[in-house]
Amino acid sequence: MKLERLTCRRRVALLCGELDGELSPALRRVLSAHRRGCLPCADLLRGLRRTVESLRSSMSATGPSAKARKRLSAALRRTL
Amino acid sequence: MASADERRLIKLSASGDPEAFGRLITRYEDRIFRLAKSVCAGLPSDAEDVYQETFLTAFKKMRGFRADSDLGTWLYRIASNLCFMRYRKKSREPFVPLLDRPHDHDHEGSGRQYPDGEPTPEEGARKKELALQVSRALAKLPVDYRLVLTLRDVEGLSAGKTAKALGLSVAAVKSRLHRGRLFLRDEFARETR
Repeated sequence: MKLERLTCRRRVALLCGELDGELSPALRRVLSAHRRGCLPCADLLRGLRRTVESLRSSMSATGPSAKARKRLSAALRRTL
Repeated sequence: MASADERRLIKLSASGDPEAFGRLITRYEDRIFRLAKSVCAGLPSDAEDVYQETFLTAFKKMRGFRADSDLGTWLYRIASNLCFMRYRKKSREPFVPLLDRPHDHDHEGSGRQYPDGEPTPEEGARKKELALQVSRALAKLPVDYRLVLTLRDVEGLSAGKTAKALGLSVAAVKSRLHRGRLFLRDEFARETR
């Protein structure tokens, strides 16, 4: 596969596939070799990886407040 | 496949047992609240409303829940529908950062110690800034994109489960995921320039 010939959208899809561990070992090797010589693709993958990490870590310790829990308990009691 | 214990709790909940349902809430509430918080991007009262309505709806519809289904995916589906309905009704709302809620600042200025594993004030400030940045960027995306990004990248669901929870095809999930990630990447880059 010639990655240079791919459309931008298909290239993003491939890089996201790499990020999500969805590519076959053969395709990963092709992509990895391509990235070594293609700064835009290497940058794009780095940027996407950082984006996913930011999203994940910004939400990592989120849970409802004690007030929200109480409000839910009270609402459930009213439905009984 | 749900564990035997979970199937028992589902059965009891379906017969109206609030204690059993309370135990199911404890298992799933963090996940549902994270989804609501992420999709309601910066609107704290909306996130709490979606969290509450999700479990109230689930309790009422528990009899219709098929025991061979995945409870988590079903709850995500209810929460996602509630988010859709909420944002269909509302157009644009003023951005109110979630982190401005009083209970997020409970420990500030208390002079407490920071044992291993707990964030230092600097780490806490960085995390809050990151959360704000993410909220601001998510708020600019359509709700279906926010849902896909949250279910895939925050909750770690597979593309298949995300598609099931949202009633979309896997191809549609991937398309929204890729576009959403690109949009967020550009937003983060713009903010740091």
